[in-house]
Amino acid sequence: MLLLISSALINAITSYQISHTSQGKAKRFYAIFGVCVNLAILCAFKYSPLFGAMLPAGDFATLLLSIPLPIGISFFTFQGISLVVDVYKNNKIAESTPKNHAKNVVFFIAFFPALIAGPILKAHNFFPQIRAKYLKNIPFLRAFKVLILGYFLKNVIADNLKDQTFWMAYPYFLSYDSASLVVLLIGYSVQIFADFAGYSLIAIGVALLFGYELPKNFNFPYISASFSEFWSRWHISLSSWLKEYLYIPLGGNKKGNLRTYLNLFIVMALGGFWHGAAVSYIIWGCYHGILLILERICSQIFTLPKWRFVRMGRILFVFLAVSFGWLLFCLNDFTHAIAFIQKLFNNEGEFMRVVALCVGIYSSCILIYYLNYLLCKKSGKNMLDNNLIWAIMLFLIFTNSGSSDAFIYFQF
Amino acid sequence: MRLSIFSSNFLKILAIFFAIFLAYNIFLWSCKPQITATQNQWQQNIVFAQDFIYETKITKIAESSAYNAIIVGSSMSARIDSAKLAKSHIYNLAFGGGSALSGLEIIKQTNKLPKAIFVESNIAFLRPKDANMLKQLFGVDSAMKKYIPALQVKYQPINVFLSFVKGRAGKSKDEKLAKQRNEKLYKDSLERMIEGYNANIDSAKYEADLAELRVLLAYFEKQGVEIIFFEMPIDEKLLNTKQVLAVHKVLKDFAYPTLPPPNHSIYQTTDGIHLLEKSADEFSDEFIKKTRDFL
Repeated sequence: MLLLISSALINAITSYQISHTSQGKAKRFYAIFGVCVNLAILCAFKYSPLFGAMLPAGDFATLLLSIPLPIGISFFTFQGISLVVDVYKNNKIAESTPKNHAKNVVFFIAFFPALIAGPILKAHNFFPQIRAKYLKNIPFLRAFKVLILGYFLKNVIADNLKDQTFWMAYPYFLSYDSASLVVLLIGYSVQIFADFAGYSLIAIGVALLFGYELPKNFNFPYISASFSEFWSRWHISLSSWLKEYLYIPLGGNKKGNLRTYLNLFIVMALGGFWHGAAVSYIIWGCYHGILLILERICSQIFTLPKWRFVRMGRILFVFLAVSFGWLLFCLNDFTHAIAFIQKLFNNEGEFMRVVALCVGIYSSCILIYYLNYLLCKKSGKNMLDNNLIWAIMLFLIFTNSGSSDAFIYFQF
Repeated sequence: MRLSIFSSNFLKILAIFFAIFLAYNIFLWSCKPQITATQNQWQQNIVFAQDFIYETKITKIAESSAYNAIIVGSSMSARIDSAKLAKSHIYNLAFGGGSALSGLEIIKQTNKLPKAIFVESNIAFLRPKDANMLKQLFGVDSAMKKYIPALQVKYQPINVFLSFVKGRAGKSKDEKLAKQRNEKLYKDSLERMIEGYNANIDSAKYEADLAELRVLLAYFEKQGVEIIFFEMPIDEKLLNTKQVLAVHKVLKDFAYPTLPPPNHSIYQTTDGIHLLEKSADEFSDEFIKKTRDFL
């Protein structure tokens, strides 16, 4: 709490100074200072155990290892950076008086629906919404539906799948055959989507009840036919933040091919690192960086025909490649991830019949959700226009929820 | 001012939801479907525990009860044949991934105090109680779940469906206790077990769990319940590991009676600690014979 308030106040002071300073050098100084303070807070609390583990044993290393990880730190520090940069680009975000500005900044940084696990808010989107709200303007029905969908994805799909993909942990997976491991991997892909998309929808639904529109965070990512499309549909608030505040300032794709590839790699590697202080996350980020680079190179050499079955093949390929990458999320210890990959090619062990059936049942709900989206795009018909579907989802939330557990992205 | 929350769509959704919910409960009350399948071990444990909690044949010591004694422990003692135990009026409350602490806490909270509690000593104070599970079993809504079966984990629609499918397909291979073991998997598993059993025990945590166990046992003793420890047979190669030796040392310091230890060499396990079907059957007979002195 103390850290959150301190971070909010530092951002308030810094952004106020930026907006009320006419000198370019001083403005720039405050902007750089604000960004550095946010990054320092993030590094100190999130990555100190990683640094501590690298140092030789001693008091300082022990101190670093004992620093706790505050909830939501990855999200509110990024919001702080967004505020500082947005104010630097556009003075009109800041209020005229320090008191009003500080109130708005604390509200923005500590906005509880998005505090713990996003979506990452951007100052230029959120600040214009800060004003008095009236009950008559609250979209209760829309909020109710968003909450039902969010809780369905989280409680019914993700929490039940979690109890199946439990067997992906080391050393349990060593006892099962290749088909079981493939089922578990696909189950985990569906789980992580349902968990995070579900949480984001809950955050969006709660914010709606207070009259605030939060940005959409997921847009059916598993129908992406390319990795760049995937990143425009998955964790949209993070990918757009990285694009706006890191990729474009680095030069984006405006400085030639080699620089573009380097920028992509840096952004994705840092994006991976943002997820956690472990080697596996950096490797995951680099993995996606390499996929994006290879995709860009291939698209410059040849163009695939726009036939339907080619598109379906691309969607399947992207899904499998992304699912493979989730292995590094699930098994933080890189040696365990290697052991899992080796076991994929060693068919000794039992087939998990019940697990496969359960993964199939819950994944099929997500498949129907995606097919409905495609149907809606093609013909305008939407199953979710039917009240019976919402009632069934609500019924399943009450009667078929899995064991409750923290959101996967809670740990970031 | 008419708020959209009272719009006809919102009310329709709620009305349809209540209709489905009521219909499902009526189905469960009237048909009482036999639930023979759950989705995972956690659910199986919850169902198992809820069966004990809502089972009316088990009552307090002072009243007549179908069971005189209860076993608490982990997946090891869950292998003891429940049907054979029931004939001897012993209820097996041990479950996979479970611990003696969780079992004791369940008995305490339900106040279904038997004449005796048999505590599996193998990991009695080396595995903490499952706080999540206990919260699920004894949360604010637990009384409601007794009377609204649709809220019980057992009657989740997917479990009803799986039980229906299983009824058609027969018992799955997973459920039958292993008759034979896969020697390669057994060796690999035993190696990992030996490594795990020889790992350093977190003494602060171990002391905390041990203290909690002592408090619970003292509570039961005060209520007139006899506490008896028993050891499940394990692979002989594990007998001299740190964990097993630590447990034996603590048991010596405890003042509670213990059943005579089993002859570990005559039993076979699938992975070092879980008995094969034949061995489980033989041990069940031995266990029942040994408990006669106490019941």
